[in-house]
Amino acid sequence: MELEIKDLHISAEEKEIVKGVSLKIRKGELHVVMGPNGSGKTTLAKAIMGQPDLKATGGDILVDGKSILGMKVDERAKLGIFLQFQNPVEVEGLGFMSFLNAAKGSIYGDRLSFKDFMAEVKNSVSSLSIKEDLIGRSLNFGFSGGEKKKIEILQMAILKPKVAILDEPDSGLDIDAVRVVAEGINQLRSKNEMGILLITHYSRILNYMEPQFIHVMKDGVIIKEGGKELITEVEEKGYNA
Amino acid sequence: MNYEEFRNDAMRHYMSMPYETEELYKKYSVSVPLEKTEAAGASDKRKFLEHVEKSLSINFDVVLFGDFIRNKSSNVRIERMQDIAEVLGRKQYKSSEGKLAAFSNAYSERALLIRATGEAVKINALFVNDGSDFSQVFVDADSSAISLSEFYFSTSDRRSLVSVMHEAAAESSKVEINQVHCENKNANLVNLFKGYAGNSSSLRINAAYNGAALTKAIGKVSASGIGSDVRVSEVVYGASEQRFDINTFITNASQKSNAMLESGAVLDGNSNCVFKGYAKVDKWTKGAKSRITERGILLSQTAHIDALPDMSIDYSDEVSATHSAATAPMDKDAIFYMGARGVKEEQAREMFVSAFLSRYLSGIGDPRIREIASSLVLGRIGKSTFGDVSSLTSRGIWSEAMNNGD
Repeated sequence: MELEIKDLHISAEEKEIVKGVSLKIRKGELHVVMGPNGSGKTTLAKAIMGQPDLKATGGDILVDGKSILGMKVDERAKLGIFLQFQNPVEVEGLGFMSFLNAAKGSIYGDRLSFKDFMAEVKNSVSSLSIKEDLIGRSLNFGFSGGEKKKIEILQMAILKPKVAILDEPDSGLDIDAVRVVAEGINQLRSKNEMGILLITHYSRILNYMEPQFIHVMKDGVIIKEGGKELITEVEEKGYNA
Repeated sequence: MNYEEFRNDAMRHYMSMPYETEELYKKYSVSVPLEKTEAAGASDKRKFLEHVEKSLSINFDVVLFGDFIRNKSSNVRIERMQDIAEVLGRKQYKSSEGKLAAFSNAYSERALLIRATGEAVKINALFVNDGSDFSQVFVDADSSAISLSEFYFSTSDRRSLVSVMHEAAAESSKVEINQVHCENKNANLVNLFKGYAGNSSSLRINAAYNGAALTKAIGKVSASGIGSDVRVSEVVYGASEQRFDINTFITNASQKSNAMLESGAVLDGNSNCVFKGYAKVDKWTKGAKSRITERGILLSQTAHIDALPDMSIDYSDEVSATHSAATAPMDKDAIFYMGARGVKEEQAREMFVSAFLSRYLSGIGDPRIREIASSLVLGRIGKSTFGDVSSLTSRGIWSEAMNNGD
């Protein structure tokens, strides 16, 4: 699957936040978007997923050459787009396993027996070093910041998207957890040939990954693009250089 | 004044000042006839009972359906009200408990007495009204555990008043009373509750209001003994023109006592709900904990919730008392999140509402009863009709897992 963002302009409540961004993510590619707070990175991620309050005022989002701007959020998920949320919502009373099983059923049209589904989830739980009791609780309810990030990656492992947009998967994680999450993402990427758009402030998680494309975003536009060497430049000179 | 005199006095009082004018008509514009009707014959009642038991996969120990009565429990006595004072050994509701209590007491014709000493007892009861119906339930637990689960339905095809009064006492015991109200659109429900927990005792009330055109509930629950624990959880699902007026009073009357009230409502259509929770922490109740939380979700612009938590704390050391209230429309962020996982908006809304309602049913101890209660409440989501017994079903993960042998 190829996801192309073409001169995209996004507004929220009449204010333009993304002001003409173009990107092309092919199968298996890892793109990184870096940038300071308020540069429009999360808005870009949510707009790709189809957040209804964000309006595309110009440009297009294409999947394999076809526009998805008219598609609803669940339809985009069914195409194979996945958004890892920076701040996943908590829904007390909604069992995580029930939710994930319903999500998988929605995307793939059939549901595994509870036993088989549990076995599949437990397999990923151990590889991501997730405490097993978390999957028996309500969706994200009472989870720490790090647990929420891991649970997001667990969902990605089960739902097997074709393109994943990862919005700060490293924020709030300790040094060991960053490595575990990065390795989990790497595994899924190579196993499923998944394209990834990873948003981050810091280079820490990139020490464990091999991104091919780095994009620096500021004030709603991409100001610099390059390979992994751009990370070092940003680290040394900051975003204002 | 003996019971007969008290009852006659109350009857005279309300005949001269008609109840519906005084309490229901004035406030809710509801006028109901009080005469009993027995529209259904005995065989129809048996068929109805079989249908409900089969649909919900449950066998009721106690059934009260007009003049059709079943009692399979040795811990339950069903008595005429005339005989109750003697059997009970204490006074029942008096006029000082409030006009509704006096009125309901005056019209009550029968009572259930549930008693247990030194044993654990589980009772499932079905109450069905096919006309205006008044009953009382007395629960006495002494060094024991009682779990009473009550399901309420209506078959009345005209306006009716359903009144049920509870008085529960836990002495060195655990008492759980679950009420699931699924009365039909012709029913107006008056639900009165009085309970207390003695030393080291617990009293848990779980009430689901899912049916009836109008529900008026008044509950008074006291954590009276040292180390006692009372918890009241009440949940409302309303649609169409349904009205709910839920008043619950919790009291900490002793040291190291807990008194918790949790109220939650999901309202659609033009429905309306008032939660008035009142917590009182008495003097010299060191170590007492009191909490009221009231939450609501509005699914339509014309639905309305008034959440009114209130507290009164007398002088005492080391007391913890909190209250909170919040009402909001559906959480758009949660719907977007679920959509991003492929879940359609309609299904996401249903899951979100189900999750919210399930919280208030999670205190039901018996998983089977919890599932039946959940299926009756959650089955209402998205429907404007209520009290329809033709489509009853028991559903959910628990029974699925059982059926699949997982």
